[in-house]
Amino acid sequence: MNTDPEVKLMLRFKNGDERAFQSLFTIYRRQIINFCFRFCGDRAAAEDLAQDVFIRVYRAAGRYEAKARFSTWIYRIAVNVCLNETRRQKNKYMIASMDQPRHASDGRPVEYMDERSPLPDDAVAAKQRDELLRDALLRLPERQRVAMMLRTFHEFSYEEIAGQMRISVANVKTLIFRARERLKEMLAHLI
Amino acid sequence: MKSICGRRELISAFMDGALSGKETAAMDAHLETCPECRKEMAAFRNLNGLLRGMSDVAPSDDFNRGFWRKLDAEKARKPLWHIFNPMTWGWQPAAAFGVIFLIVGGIAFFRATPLSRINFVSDAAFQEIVDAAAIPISEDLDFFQDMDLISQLDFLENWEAVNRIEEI
Repeated sequence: MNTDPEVKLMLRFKNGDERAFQSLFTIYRRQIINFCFRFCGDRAAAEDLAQDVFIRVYRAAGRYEAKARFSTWIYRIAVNVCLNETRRQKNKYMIASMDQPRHASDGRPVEYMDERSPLPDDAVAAKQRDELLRDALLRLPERQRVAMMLRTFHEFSYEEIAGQMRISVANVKTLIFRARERLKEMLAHLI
Repeated sequence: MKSICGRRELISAFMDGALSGKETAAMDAHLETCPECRKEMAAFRNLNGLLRGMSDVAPSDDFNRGFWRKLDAEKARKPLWHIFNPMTWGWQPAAAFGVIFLIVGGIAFFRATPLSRINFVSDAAFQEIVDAAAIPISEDLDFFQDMDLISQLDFLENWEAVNRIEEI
């Protein structure tokens, strides 16, 4: 843990260095947004969730202890935020219509840089494939989805995932196996 | 009917390096002889490759601004207990609160104290009070002894004792 540079940043922030927090924010911003987006399928909601994650990181500085890698810790917060939000709004997170505009705080529609310019054909095919994959992930039960995402996209160990989700390692094995079985069936034409 | 290999469920954990050394060695040996498990593992590996190939989304233009605004609001928000902590008020309101507290507390204390309500009486006067409030007691103490006996007797086993009660 002592050699993890992000742990050092967090400890500096704990000691009052706000620039350390800004560094962590910059490093993890995109990752956390994508984690939340793959979890809920809605970009606007994903950004709200991601902001909540960083607010919690900020609030937790005073009692932060370097017991694990920083990434393990921040993703534990992200898992809690995502699962808590879906408990609050049980059926809200379906596949979002991309036609629904969202407005920024100044009233302008929110713009996503990757949607500004037209895509070449192979990129269109890749985008369609991504949408199929995202759709399949969203059809998984929440806990299977979270375990699968933590393993596949972030390569956390089963022990780390168990800590992040507050379950046993045996449960993690079962969740990931079942998630893969279901995804294999849903995406049989792609595999 | 196609049989399902009993070790199929271990393939996922095997692929992720989550089995023990012994289990891993056993799985390695098993895969050499089980085409079903090999096929399952190939499918899981392809799936992993597909998922890891998904493109990321970029933060919106508003994300940073929206976050720092939320954070400023978070910093400005004081915890509820702050309202009730005189140490955060400044010395004048805190002093005024202290004085008011003493006055109100003193009034409440003196109203509640039993000192104003104690009647100092002599022993003789106290006995008169007791006698006046005394509950009439039956002079037939034998009756009460009999009743006490009845309430504790098991009738089936103590007929002799019951028969001693003349009134019943």
